[in-house]
Amino acid sequence: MNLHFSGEGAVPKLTVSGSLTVEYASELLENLKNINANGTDLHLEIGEVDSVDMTFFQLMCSAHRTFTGGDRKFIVTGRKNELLERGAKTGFRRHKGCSKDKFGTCAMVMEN
Amino acid sequence: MSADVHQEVFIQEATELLQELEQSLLELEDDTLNMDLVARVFRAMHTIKGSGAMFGFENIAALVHSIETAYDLVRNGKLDITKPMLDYSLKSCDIIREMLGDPSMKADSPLAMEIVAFFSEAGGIKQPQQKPKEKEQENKLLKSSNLKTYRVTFRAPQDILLSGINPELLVKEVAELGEASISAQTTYMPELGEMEAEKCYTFWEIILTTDKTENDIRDIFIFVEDDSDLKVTLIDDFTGGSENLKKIGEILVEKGDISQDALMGLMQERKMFGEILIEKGLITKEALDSALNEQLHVRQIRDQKAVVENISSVRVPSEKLDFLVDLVGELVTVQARLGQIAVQENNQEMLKVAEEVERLVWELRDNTMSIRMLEIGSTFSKFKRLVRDLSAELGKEIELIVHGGETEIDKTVIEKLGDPLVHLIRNSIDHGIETPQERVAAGKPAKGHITLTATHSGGSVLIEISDDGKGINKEAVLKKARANGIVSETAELPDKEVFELIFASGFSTAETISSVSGRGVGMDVVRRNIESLRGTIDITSTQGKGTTITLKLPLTLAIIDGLLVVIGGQFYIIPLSLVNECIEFNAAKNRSSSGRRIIMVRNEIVPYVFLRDFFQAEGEAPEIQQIVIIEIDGRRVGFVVDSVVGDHQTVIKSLGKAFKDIECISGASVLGDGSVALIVDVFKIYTEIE
Repeated sequence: MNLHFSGEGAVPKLTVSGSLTVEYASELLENLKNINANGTDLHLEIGEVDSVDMTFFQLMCSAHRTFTGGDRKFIVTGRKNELLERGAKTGFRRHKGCSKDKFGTCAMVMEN
Repeated sequence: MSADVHQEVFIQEATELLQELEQSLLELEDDTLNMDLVARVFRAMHTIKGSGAMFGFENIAALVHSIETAYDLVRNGKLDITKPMLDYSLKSCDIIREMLGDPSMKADSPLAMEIVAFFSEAGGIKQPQQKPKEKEQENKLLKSSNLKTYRVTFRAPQDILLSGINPELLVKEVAELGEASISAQTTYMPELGEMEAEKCYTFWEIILTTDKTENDIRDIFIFVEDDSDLKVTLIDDFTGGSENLKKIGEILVEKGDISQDALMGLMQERKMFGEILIEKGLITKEALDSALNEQLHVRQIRDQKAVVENISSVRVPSEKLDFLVDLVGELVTVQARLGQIAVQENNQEMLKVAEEVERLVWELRDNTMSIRMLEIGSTFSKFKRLVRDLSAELGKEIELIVHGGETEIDKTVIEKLGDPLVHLIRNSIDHGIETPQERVAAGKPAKGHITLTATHSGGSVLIEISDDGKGINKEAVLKKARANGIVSETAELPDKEVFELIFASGFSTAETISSVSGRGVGMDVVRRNIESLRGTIDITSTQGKGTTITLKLPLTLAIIDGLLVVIGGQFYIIPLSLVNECIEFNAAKNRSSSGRRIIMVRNEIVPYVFLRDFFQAEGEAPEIQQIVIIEIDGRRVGFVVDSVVGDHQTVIKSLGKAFKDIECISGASVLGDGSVALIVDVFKIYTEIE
């Protein structure tokens, strides 16, 4: 997994690529916790993904709940649709967000 | 094919499409966000327009064009479904029907122009819509006769990943068993602070359509089942029509998301059901989405299956089918003769062949009869429109509930059943169900229900039309009957006999004559129609609770299970379904002092009739005759015959025009030796002796 964090600009940006799998889940979780502790919004950009599993989708969902619960934005961009196409095979793709998705930014909803 | 033939084919197909279209529109009224239904409506409109223009029905194409465009906008999420839109769509179905009957009719009637104007100007607010999933059609799977849809709920232990098992692989393996809609549920997902990255917080709901068994599904989880929460529930076995699809409430109750009591309580509210549940905090949005997903999956699979089955079916004109049934009837007769000759000749080789032919002929007969069997659901679904329109006209709230739409019955019976059913349903709407105000005042829900149920019962089909209305007012019926001189002023009748009065010609308790009822024309005709189908009609009613009318009909009009009897050397057939018993009868011993023709059978007085007299049979009656006890409308009547040969399954032949005026004989059958047996119309005889 490749992680790149950029704190510049209005919204901090975390770019992830490579293997988004259970082996790297703890590392990504720590990064997300640290960013969350700053009390800012977060822009998660999906780069080129080699492989992805449920742990990454769980982290996206958890992060979205955490940030949204604190009235902060958690926005996923980049190759999100490509990622969700893979996730769809095991049900990690939504047509609409859950009840906690008050900003309509569910990480698992495809972009138009 | 000539152009006329093409037109005929188009008319036939458009008529069927209209019926489906109406059904879809009525379902859409209850579920306006259902994109699957919208797609169905669009496709039907598109086909009617395209084929109509091709076969010279430009008037239809002109009318449908703007409607089709509007539904295309809905399909693409650019327009909302509204009530006026559905009303105009349904009205357009009526106009298209008229146009099919009269191709010269132009789309310029005030209503047609109003419809075109409405759809041309239709606009609305875009709202995000759930696109139906695009799936590959697996024709082989969909053609399977063992197809079932299951709901698989799998919640793995949280440390499953740490034990080296990947639950996603199990989920994928389930999906490989058939057509699956998979939903990873994140209801229990913690926030980042409480999260452990390698734990599994997700649980899965998989709606799987497969020809595999429940055990095949469970086998996938064999190594984790003990530590997991696994539920495999059968949710659809593809019996019945679309009316059998589960509603959202039913799915939620089945999944344990809400209780049956909570569901019943909420049925009274006039809002989108899902909205109410979420507003009241009874379910989460995720639970509703999951139920909607399940409903969508089942609908889509059923539609796909229907498409595949249509591809693998052949349309045959019904005349050809009728001719085939006639030929099979002839074959049955010839086979019976062959059997008789083989027995007479006592030729072992010939007997073997005769037995083989008999087996094949009966198989052929059963198979041919089954081809003519149609699901009664197609007839039932037509009544939804009737209930909708008539209840609105009378200011009533009525829902039609249909059960047993998959029940099969011969097409000839179905064809003749339409009118009586329409009459009975109109009666329920007009006389049975009260206005919402009256219902509320009586402590009932404002909305009334009419339930149509079809079930098989031996060689018959039972069709029940029941309503939860005010029931039959026995006093009013008796009062009217006394006023009409049908019963004496002092007569006290049991309930059953009071209800029977309704069938008297010209009888009506309606105070005023309306467009719906009140002229007293109908129930007598309904009974006549049902009896002409060799059926019976029965009424039960409880005041304040409702009325149930039960029709008992034969599965087919082509074959009769009969009791073969002899009267004056001539064979007759009495429908076996009506026969209670046969007992010996000695006319000399049974002559009553009063001269009345009654006999005591098991401590019950049974009136009887000599069929010899009735059919003016020649010759002397044997000393010992047989009396065939028949039950009609709950009453037992005896028919005295010379002798009883035995039960006999027979192919019915019509008597032809020359004999059309012969009373009390409903048809004929050719026996194995070539002789003719006449089928006794017991209802006519019963009416005459009444």
